[in-house]
Amino acid sequence: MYDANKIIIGLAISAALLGFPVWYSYAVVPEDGDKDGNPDYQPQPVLPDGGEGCIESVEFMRSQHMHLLNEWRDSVVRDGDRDYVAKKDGKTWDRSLSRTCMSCHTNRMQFCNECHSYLAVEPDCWNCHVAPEKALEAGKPPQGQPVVKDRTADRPPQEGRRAPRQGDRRFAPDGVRHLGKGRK
Amino acid sequence: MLEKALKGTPKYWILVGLLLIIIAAGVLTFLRQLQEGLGITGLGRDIPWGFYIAQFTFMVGVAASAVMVVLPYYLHDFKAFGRLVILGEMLAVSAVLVCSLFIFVDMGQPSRVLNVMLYPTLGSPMFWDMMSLMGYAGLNAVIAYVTFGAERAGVAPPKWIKPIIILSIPWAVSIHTVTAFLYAGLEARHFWMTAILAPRFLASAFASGPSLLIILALVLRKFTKFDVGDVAIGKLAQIVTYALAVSIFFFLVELFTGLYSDIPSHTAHFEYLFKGIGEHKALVNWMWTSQILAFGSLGVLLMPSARKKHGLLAVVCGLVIFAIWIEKGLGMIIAAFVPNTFHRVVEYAPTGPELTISLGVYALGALLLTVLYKIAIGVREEVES
Amino acid sequence: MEKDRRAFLKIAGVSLVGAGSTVPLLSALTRARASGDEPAAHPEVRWGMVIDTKKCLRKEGCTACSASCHWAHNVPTMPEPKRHEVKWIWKEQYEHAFTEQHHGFTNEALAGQPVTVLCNHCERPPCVRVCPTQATFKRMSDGIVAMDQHRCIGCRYCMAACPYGARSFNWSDPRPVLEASRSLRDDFPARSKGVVEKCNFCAERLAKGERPLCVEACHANGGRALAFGNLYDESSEMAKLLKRSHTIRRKPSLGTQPHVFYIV
Repeated sequence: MYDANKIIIGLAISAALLGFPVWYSYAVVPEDGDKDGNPDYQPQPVLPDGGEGCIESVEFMRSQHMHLLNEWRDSVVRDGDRDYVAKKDGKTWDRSLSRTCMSCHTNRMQFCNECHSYLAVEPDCWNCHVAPEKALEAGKPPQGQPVVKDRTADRPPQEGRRAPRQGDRRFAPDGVRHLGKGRK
Repeated sequence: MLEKALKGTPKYWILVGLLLIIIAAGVLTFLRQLQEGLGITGLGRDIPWGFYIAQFTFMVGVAASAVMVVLPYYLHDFKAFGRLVILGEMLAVSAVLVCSLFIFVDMGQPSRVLNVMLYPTLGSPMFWDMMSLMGYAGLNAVIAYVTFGAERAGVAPPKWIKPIIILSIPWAVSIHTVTAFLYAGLEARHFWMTAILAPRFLASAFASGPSLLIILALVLRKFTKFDVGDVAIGKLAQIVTYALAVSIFFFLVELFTGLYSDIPSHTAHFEYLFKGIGEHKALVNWMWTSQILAFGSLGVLLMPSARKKHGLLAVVCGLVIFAIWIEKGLGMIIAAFVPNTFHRVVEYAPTGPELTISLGVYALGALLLTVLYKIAIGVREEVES
Repeated sequence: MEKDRRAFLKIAGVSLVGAGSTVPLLSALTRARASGDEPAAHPEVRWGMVIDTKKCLRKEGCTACSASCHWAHNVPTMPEPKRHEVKWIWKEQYEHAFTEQHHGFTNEALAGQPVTVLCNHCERPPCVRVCPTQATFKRMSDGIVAMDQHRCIGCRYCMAACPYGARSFNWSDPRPVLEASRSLRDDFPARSKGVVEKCNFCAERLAKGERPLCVEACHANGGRALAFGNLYDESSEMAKLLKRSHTIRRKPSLGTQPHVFYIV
């Protein structure tokens, strides 16, 4: 081999650099319970207690939840179709992450982000969509007109709030009072 | 062939180093733009397209102008362009890179750019623009690689490259036509609603592109042993002259229809460009400079004796490029937005970060061009020794 | 040796490009046609709006429509510079809203007066024609020109194409502005930087059988200047209004067929 020394040294440095994510987690011994760099850490999403269970089975959700959300996104935004019929039991749900999913999985830091951070997955939903805990207390509507009452001022999101009842096909967000006689 | 780019004189490396510094500045500023949004540019609600798109439009013209070299050489056997053709093709490839980058940096969500291909919209000129530019880049890259590789090996290029070369000729015309179609079908922008937009684009492209090629050929002749020959440069200069004449004529024709019709929504744009509207006169000096330079350059180029003096020719070509750059960029793109759809005058000026990013993009194109030309020169020297 | 390495690199490059493009190509070809753009043989529902400028002008300085719309839809009030403005519905001076109609002898009641303008949800929208990703599309079921913010690449072609200046781009992240002004709501998404937005005719409210907010707010505030309904429903209040009043549209010669009508 020409330049054998240089090549072997170069290879060794490359291997060290490329393998950094692997050997670092073993080289640095973490504190007890410390997440960072701990190769034995398992993500522990906080599950909602009580309730009838998720709209689909756990296995389905584990592998398909992103696919499901994308499907919901296209269906709601492009077709205006909000009705989702669950494969598990035929129940109808509102196609909404914030209203359906998050009515039970209320804390995304403790549920969604547990696994997402562990796997370094960053869905960018929350760049636009407003997580319930993010909305600040809305002040008075402009010009003092009580046009639409903001939900969070009335009722902050509650722990373990139930998903819409079966048969409740159109789940209207709380607190949206419409003045006048509705559609004419 | 790539190894030819890795050995060079100190001057070569200084050039590469300078370009890398400019590119770095552009990249860092672009990262800032990704972080903060396009708000760091001078664009706004009334002028959604500005400097970036103007540069894109100009460089598509430069990319298309390679046809002015390919057509005589491959279709009409104009042997004098033998050395020039590879320079033209490589310039086309670099220009397409610059175009694509300008589109990329102009996008609000660049990470989603592939949506244009994942959700093809056959009714949108922008979709076709992307397809035709990619096709053109591919065509020219393949043509340059195959023909040049064959020359280096000392053999004739394979027969199958000929139809591909012939295809690249109408394709070159199509890339700039489809770019014009981006603008020319919008009922919202009266300034662009003219059938002559595509011919104007092409004529000005065929004046500015070969001008750039002349300058590059003269620079190469000065700094390297690569000499395209006086006949080639002379013919290119003739092409620039004719194209410039046609381009000026098309502009005058536009001026007539716009002004004689006396329709305010048409005349207002010309008024803004050449007289200013009220206090708003930002582009007036630029436009008059562009026209004076264009007419003046044409006057000089019409004299065969002037075209033969290469020092003068280089200066005039530079002025032609500058004049057309102003006319296409400021005079055709920005002008359509002033006055806006509410018939209000909102002016535009690019910001520092916008210009830095643009310079970085140009530097990236220049770097690619430098590397490609270095390879071409190296191979040519090898072949001729 | 050199020739083999070259051949290897060439084959590797071609395979990479081929493999890389097959999957998205196949998925793009097999993807169901983008819903919402099947052409309706004869539309049954076409939402439209009638704006009575006389009634609107009686309430001087009223901004109920834009205030409630922007409030409910997380539309930020962007700070300076003015060119970064984001607005869905606002008041425009008569001469600038109706560039084809005004003349030097406009009646006193209208000259220089503010007129409410918004996206016209045209029947033949140029913005939809030009969008390269169908991020903006016309729902054939009800005629609303809708936006899919997930797909928008922020190229702003639609903004160049809109003859009415109805569209706004997010030149920076609106979230800090919304949070600072304490007006972020969680019952409607906001937008990120880099996408275009505009009035959506309150599609989310129409889905529940409610009127758009601007119309509600106008009525709640006593103006009663905005009427909304199905243009093709002969029995609707709006259709009757259109039959008995002289209405004009903005820039009619362009052929976009706007669905927002004005009684001037």
